[in-house]
Amino acid sequence: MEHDTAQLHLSELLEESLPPELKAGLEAHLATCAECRDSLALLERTLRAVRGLPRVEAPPQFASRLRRRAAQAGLLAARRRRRQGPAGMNFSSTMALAVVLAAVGALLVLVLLMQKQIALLVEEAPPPVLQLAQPAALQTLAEASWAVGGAVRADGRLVPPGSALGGASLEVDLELPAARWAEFRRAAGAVAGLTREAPRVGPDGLVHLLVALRPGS
Amino acid sequence: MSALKRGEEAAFELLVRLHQHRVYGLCLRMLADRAEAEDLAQEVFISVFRNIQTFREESLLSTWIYRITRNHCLNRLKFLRRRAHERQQPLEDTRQADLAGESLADPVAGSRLQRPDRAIEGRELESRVLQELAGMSEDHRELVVLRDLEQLTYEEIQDITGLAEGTVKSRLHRARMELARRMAPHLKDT
Repeated sequence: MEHDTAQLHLSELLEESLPPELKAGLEAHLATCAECRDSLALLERTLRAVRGLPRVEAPPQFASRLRRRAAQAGLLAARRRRRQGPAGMNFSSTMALAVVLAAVGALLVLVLLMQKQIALLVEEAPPPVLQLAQPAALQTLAEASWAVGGAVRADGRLVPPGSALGGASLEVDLELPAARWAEFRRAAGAVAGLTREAPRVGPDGLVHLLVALRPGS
Repeated sequence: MSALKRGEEAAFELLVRLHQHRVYGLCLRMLADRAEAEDLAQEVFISVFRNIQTFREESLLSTWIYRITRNHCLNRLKFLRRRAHERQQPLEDTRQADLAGESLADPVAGSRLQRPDRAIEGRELESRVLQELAGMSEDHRELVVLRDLEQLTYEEIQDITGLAEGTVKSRLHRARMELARRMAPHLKDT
């Protein structure tokens, strides 16, 4: 096998997907070509490093933020309406179904409680909410967050650094590296209600701070 | 599937629970930015919610979701490049900082039982791989991510990217060789 052709088949050799005749040709070439042997060894080490990367997990608040965003987009509300039962179902049959479902549900909860598994179903407590009346204070917090490499989400959507926030009522989620809380605190200055200590560090190593802007409150 | 197409909320919650990590992981590996990755992964699910009626079940649901994720990633990368260009800030600058943070903050990597020096070396290597991966072109990076990180079959990759089998294999090989060249200085002693 020619050198250039051999270079093209190194991946397939590592994946053991080469037809036998090509494999024999490549192996014969490798026995005589140090450059191809080096390329193969480097490729193998690289793939081992790539495949050894840890699995990534979505942040713990991912599902709850998505639910909020889907509700704001009107998706969950529309789906709930569709779940109200077939149009032809009369009131008494709906009530009867509800009573049966409630009884089954109550029984299930009881069993779960007895098995002490109810905690698994309880959603993680939301982070504390800081209420602000002034859009300028919110802007200060957002800028302090960007300055320490944090992220800002308004009503679930990521806000690009440098954007102006404020106006109507808004819920803003600040996500900061826990190690830079003190720096954030200094950059934020005297925003009322902001504690000196980081409120809560998530398992992802980030501090989550929920800020609600209610102008005029 | 029928529960999903009927729009049952519980079915969507199950869908999110089953696929959130892989969708987020693909976004993170493609964008190399945690906040952008989460935002985009949420957009992917919103898009899945909106378009589930158009899913024709000719492929696996997971492959369809991956295809949506891949298209969203490419669009977001285009947008981020344009924004970075307007601000005259190289996109790589923000990525490098985030990648370093991600690797060091990784709770999985941090909890492995290893000798401390080996653990640090391992995390440095992870960080290098992520940096070099982020520095590659998008069409090379996506194939390495789909095949070597997500471990999808060639058939699934063809379905997701719309590329022919021969193109996937030859481009993937070029991508791996490029990554190997980039990684060479960091792999000397491994």
